[in-house]
Amino acid sequence: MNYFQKKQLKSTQRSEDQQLISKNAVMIDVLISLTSNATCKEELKKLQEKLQYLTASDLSKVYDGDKKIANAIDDFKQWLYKEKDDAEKTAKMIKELYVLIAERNSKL
Amino acid sequence: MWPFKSKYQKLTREEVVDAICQLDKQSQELEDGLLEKQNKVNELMEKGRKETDKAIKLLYAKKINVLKKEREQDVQRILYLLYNSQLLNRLKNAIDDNQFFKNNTKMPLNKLLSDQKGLAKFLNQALNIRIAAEDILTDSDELFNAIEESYEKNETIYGMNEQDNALLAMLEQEDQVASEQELYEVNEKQKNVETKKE
Repeated sequence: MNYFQKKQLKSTQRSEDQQLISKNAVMIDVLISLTSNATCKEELKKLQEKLQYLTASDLSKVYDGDKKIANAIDDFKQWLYKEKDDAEKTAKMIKELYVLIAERNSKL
Repeated sequence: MWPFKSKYQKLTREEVVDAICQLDKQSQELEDGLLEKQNKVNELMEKGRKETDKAIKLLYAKKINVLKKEREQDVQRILYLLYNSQLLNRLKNAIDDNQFFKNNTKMPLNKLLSDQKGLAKFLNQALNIRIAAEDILTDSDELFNAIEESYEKNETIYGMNEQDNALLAMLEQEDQVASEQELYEVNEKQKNVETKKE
């Protein structure tokens, strides 16, 4: 693979990562609409801001980290469909998302 | 490698989760409907008990039966949705497992482990180093033993000559005489004590 092909591959990987980051940020809106707890809504808005401004990267480890965040958001959504009013569990899941974001940033 | 992906390879986790959410939502709606129907049935039963007119009682009875049938159908649907949701959860877990094992095999250290020949060579080297080190110690131990065993005790310094032997015999005799004297004195004292008592 020559230099230009490598450069193109990296930019493709970076744009895919950027798309995934944007999608994760948008999915938080779904979570906000599903929860009825005001505190949780506030926390989710803060989390959404943090997610929106993550730096995209062409590293596969960082992309895997973003996928884990996407999976955690999906699980959160699935849980909220079933049980909307458990504030403790919601707080725990938000904290888990923060941990995943921190782990993802550590691989940059 | 086959260029075309199968349906399962194209399937994303998000799609599965969305499907599970939809099933859960339907199931929840049906459950809420069930409770409503149950309440209506109870209401109609109360009214039916209080009612005196037979025609109205019959009307209530028919309504109750209709509601009961609908309830049975709803229960069946909920069970079906539950089973469907369980299977989709299993599919979701399979997707997660697939991703988990793919990520783990990508790890550089795991890639090293897949090189079996290199690993065998490395382990053999480590074993040989260990054996060589142990051999050095055991050889040194044997050398110590061999040299110490070849040593003979110097009888002139540590052994007994004629003069030492004669002196030792004399000392032993003196010890024997002293001990017999003591014993004799003890016996005499005892005899004296016994005669005094008499």
